[in-house]
Amino acid sequence: MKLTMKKHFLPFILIVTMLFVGVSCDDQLDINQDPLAATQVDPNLLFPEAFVNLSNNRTIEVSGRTGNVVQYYEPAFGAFGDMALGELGNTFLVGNTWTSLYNSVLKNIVLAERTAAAQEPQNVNVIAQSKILQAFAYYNLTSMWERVPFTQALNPDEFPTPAFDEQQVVLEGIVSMIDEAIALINKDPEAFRVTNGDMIFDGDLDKWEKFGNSIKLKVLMMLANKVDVSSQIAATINAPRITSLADEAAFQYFDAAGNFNPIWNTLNRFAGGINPTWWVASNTFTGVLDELNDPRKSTYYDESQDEVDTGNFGPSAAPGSFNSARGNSIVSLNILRPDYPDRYVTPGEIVLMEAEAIARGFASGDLAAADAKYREGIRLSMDFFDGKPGAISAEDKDAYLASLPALSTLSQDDAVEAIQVQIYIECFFRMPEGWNVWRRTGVPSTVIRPSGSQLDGVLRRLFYPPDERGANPNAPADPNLSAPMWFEN
Amino acid sequence: MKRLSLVILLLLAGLSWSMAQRTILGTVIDEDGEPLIGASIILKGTTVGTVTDIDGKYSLDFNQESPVLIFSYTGFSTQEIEVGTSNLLDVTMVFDALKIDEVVVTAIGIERNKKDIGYAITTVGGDELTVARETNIVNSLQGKTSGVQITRQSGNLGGSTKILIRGVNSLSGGNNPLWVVDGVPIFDSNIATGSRITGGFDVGNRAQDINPDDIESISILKGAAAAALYGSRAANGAIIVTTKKGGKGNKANITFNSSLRFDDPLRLPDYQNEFANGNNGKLTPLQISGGWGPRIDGRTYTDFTGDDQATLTAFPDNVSDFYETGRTHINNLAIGGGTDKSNYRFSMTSLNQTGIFPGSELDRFTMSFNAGTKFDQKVSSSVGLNLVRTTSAGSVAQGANDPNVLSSVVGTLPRNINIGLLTPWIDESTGVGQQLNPLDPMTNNPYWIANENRFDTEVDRLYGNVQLKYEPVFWFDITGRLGIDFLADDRFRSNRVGTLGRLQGDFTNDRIQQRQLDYNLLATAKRDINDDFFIKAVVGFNYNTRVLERFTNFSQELTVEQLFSFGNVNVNNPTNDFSERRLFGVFGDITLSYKDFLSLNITGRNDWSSTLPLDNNSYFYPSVSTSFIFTDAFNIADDILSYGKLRASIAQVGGDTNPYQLDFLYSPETTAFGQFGTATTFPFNGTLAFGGPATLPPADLNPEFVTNWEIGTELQFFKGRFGVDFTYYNIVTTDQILAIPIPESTGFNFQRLNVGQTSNKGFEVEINADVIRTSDFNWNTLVTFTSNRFIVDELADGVDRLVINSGFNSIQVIAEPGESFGLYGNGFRRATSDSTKIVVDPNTGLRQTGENIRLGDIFPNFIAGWTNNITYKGLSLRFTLDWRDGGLLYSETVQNLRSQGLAEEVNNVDRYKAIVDTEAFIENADGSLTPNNIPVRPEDFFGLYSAGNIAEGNVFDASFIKLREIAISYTFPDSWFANTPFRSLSLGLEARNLAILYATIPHIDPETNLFGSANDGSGIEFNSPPTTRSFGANLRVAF
Repeated sequence: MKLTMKKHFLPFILIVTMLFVGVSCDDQLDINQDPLAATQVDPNLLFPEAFVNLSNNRTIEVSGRTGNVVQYYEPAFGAFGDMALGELGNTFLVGNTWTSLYNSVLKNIVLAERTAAAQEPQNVNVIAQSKILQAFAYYNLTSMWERVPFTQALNPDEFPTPAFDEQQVVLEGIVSMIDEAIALINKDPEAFRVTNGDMIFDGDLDKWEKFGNSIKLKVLMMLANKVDVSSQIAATINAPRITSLADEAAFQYFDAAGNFNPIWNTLNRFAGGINPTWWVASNTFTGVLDELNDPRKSTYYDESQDEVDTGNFGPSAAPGSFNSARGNSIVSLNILRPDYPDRYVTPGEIVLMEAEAIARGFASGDLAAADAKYREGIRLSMDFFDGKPGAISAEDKDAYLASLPALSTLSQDDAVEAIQVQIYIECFFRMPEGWNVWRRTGVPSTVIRPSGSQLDGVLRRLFYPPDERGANPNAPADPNLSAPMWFEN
Repeated sequence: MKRLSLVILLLLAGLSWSMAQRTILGTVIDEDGEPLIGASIILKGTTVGTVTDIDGKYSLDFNQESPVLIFSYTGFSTQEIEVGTSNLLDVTMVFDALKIDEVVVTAIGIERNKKDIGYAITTVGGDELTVARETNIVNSLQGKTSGVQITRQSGNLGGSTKILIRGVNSLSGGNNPLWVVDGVPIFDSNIATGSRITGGFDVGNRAQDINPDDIESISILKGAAAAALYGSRAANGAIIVTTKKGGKGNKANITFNSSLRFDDPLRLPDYQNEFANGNNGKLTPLQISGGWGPRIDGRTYTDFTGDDQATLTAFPDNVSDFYETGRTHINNLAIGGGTDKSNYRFSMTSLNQTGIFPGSELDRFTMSFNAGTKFDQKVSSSVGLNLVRTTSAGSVAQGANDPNVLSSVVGTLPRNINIGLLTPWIDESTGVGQQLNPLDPMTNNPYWIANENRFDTEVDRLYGNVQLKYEPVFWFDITGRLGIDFLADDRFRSNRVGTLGRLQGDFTNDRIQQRQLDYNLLATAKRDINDDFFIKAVVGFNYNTRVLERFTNFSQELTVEQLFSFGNVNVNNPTNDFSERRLFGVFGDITLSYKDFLSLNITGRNDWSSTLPLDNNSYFYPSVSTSFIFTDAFNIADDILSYGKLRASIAQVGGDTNPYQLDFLYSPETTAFGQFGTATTFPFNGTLAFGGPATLPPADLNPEFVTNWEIGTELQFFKGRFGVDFTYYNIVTTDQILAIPIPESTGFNFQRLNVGQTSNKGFEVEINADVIRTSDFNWNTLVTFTSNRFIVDELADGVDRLVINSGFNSIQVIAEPGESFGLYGNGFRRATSDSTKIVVDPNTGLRQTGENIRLGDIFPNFIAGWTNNITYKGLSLRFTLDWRDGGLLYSETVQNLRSQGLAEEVNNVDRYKAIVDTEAFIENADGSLTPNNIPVRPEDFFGLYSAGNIAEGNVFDASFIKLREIAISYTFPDSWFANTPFRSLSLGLEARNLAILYATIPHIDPETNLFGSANDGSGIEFNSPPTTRSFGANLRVAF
């Protein structure tokens, strides 16, 4: 052996090397597990992805680029508003929004819900929180596209090409989803729930219940245009709901790099953090404010560069003018600020909607009862800015409320319209909420087709994103983008 | 595999030989009496051999009855000479015009005679790569080979170049060929830092680390048959680089080469110089952009610096004045030599380059070493190591939505801007740098961007191989070869505090490490079976592992400016990445030749990949190729048709996928998307986030397969003065491992499946002609032509589009069944009743945005190259032309120039007179069309005709003809140096990318692409830095 070893040392080494690798072949190949990813995670880790993506989309993508549909502002250039003209080039806007809602928001909360449901015993609160957040995501989806996958969505194994449900199915489905969620809630303080991943309520289940009922009220008010849901509305406005600013459902941004409100961050990145007439006042909205002499005008808007410290605002731009003149009044940094929250549901809109429900006879009470809610809602709307940039003085609030005629002195129609105008004002720069007010009520009637629009009216829906259409044969044809949705009157 | 090693063990058992001595001496010269260095002499029937030294001398020791020596030298006819009684044998080699005895390096380093090969292979000699050296070796191949599309991606120093052989095969990307240096694969990665579209930097493809001065030759294996032995990574072809080895002869061969070149922009836009910045004929004091302002008439105005007594003057050269003259200096010193048993070569190269952008520079230092020795125990060993260090600074960003996209700021300077007023750009007197003279409140001073914001890279790389060969008998050897490639790529970018758009400052550290280890064990046996049959068989084993590790940190809001410490910022956003893959392969290769005119080659390989499911990770693929020299078989060669060969091959190559594609994975999130680059980061106010996968993992996965057949012929006429090489090929890729889009309403964006089929059909022609051949004057010309048709045959059921790339404003590259890759973008609005008619807004008379449409194909119809070598005694002239026909390019630069009123052509109309867009129509309420008759201002017309969100007006045919290189050199006669230490001296003048002889696209070089070389999408130019042309001189001295 020794002799042969010496003579054939080289081939021997080669062969040994080869056997060495050869023997452990299968072990060598069993390395395909990603060391930087997990196969199971706690629901607390999945909710934040949903909240942040939801709000990033609702702010800069939806509110910042379609807020001019109901003429909360007039953009300086197409990127901030040519969707309102019906321009079909906005494939990224519709695609990003769809992807954000289905793939970043719904996917992750559904995965959290399934994880919770598979546990023994089930984490009922996680399921409830998931369902309420899903309900809000679907509220956003159907508000923008009317018919969307709902009953077959998020289940690729069973439904690889989900069918698109009628809006009535989606809206009624949202209501039952919330009912199921609230029935599941277990308020035992020891019961597991999403806490540190709950970026809106820190695991406060009372607030989740209120959030659920408030979404339900908003959806019922949409359904009320087409079907009789008055008893459900009456029941909901007696259930726990968001009626105080402390209960508001909002996603808080921070004045810290990486956590800025994306609308402000757009200005930060391109314009040094000021609004260089990129979002200017629209004469539709300033018309509404001026008629009411509304003090929120100086909260929502700033004077133009030519009118600084004069007390005048400068002119507002006409819809479709894409005006960037320095003389225009601009949307204020009170709204476009780094730590401005994305407000999902505000007490102002809920209380005003209750006033509307009473005034329209969906719930018991007379116009005087409605008037109390009306004033409470307006005050909540103004109180939001207390202690914040754009705060309105107590005198101005009182004077404004005093200037508004009592609803009981108005006809029912005028009273209802007065309330609806206030919901429109409250939803300033919040889409799709503001869009829903106008489509649901037709108020204010001064919202008009912008000049230069490719549509014969105001934009009432988004078109389906090419990626969904390309992959899903069940996607319906796009109706005319100015055609009313099912819930509209 | 265990069984295989047993076979090898048996083969090796008990082999041992011994011999006695006789010595033959001589000199090998060519027909002109010049000694041939490195000519090979082999004792027939053995592996005993040597090569000639620097003086053409050789000596060979052996002991054999009636010996026959085989003398061979590339380009000359091989001679077999019987050795008589004399121990002195001088040989005169005869130039062989037929060039058929060429030995080429094929897969796994197997050397084969070109005439035996049954598929297309192109070889480019090292000397062709060092004429007008490129800093990126890939560029040097442009125009010199058929079947290959080579596209520079940008004008950045160290920028990347895309190489695509016979089209795109896999829709999942990764279609770049495999690069192999001296038998071992190396990385040609092109990894982006940040988004490619928002301020991305073209960081270069790493094949550029191969130093042209160290290359002996490059073989381009185009088809699957050629590359089958390399496995899946060579499914798109392989580029086989053989480095220079030390010459034989115990005298050092020292060469020194020095090149100095100067670079300037190849093409800058053609500007109007009559109108100032502004809109509607008026100056815009706050916003300095565009050229729709008043006539530049010498009036007094307030300029951007606030000087209210400035005179409105045109500065026609303000853009070209911004660019500096770049300088490239390449020095190479090489020493090589050896004995008949050993060789040694060491080379050092330093490349120092400054670019056309102020502050841009690139330095690359390469050390290359190889040596080999044949020991007494029938063992030989060699080692080759390459150490490369590349540092660069001041790369320029592309895309938009980032302040560092310098070319868009410089390229759209209003005509009345005196760039002399842009300096100084910084005031540091307060201790904190303040930006001076920004163009307007939103636009940075371009000198600030160039000088204060950094993008620096440092790449350290070590690649090489060690090889051990045991050759117990002349007909059998066994070789082990270990290859390594270590790559450390450190990048740093910063926005200085005070940069508009990044006022608080930020910086990114990005550290990428790649490691590759490749081990091959090969046993080769070759034998004459009888007088007619020859057989050669190779069996082998391959192990390959690749690791990528990455650490990136994005730091925002600096407390102390210019202090790039993680502790000095308000927010750090670190991410890390890791991936590892392993592959085992066994392969065999058998070549059977009959009477030197018929040859059959069969290969097979089986791979086991870690990226596939453990129970289904093995896949086998074969190839068969044949070559038939009919002129020899039928003995019909004459003075007209001197040589004729037919070849055919069919091959399959299997492919695996990327690591970690099989599990349902939740990944920690570090950012969340926000439109306009407003992405937020995690932890968000302290909260962490995980997300489910975007792609549903596959239930099961099979390897994908590329099936390729090709036929071709090589013909030589007039004693080899005119040669044609023609190939037709058909490549089908099936069972592609593809993340196919599924309805996003399922919650997932993609599902990974084995689906889809693509095909590439095409033909390649190479014509090589000695137009003139005399003893003093020679003119050789090479024409290459390639036409490839790529089709997406099918995607998955129900899937009718797959996005390959996404740019801005809904511009995308999309795969659709039945089509090649298409460029999609928003079109002009068309009439409802007739989609061929463009309609204007009936109120304004202006064009509008229409639907997102297919604008056309991105790939060219054909590519052709023409290289000429003309020599007269010591003087030589060489030039290469390169022609690309077809394909589309979207140009953001042209869009900006036109819509902003800066392009020369917007002055073709009278700006103050209304014009009518007569190509468009007005759609009436009843659907009828009437010709548009609404007059509009030219400013408004171009504002919409060339709008940023309407791609259709900004899309052009990307065809071009370029003068790629031209070089003239003179080699001084050897006789001048007879009594000096010099052996030879040559001097040359050279130029690269000298001119665009033809292009239809205005203002820019059509050879550009936003997405970088790793990506298959092309057709989008987005504020790319201008490409350069260079002129210079070269000196070469040999000692």
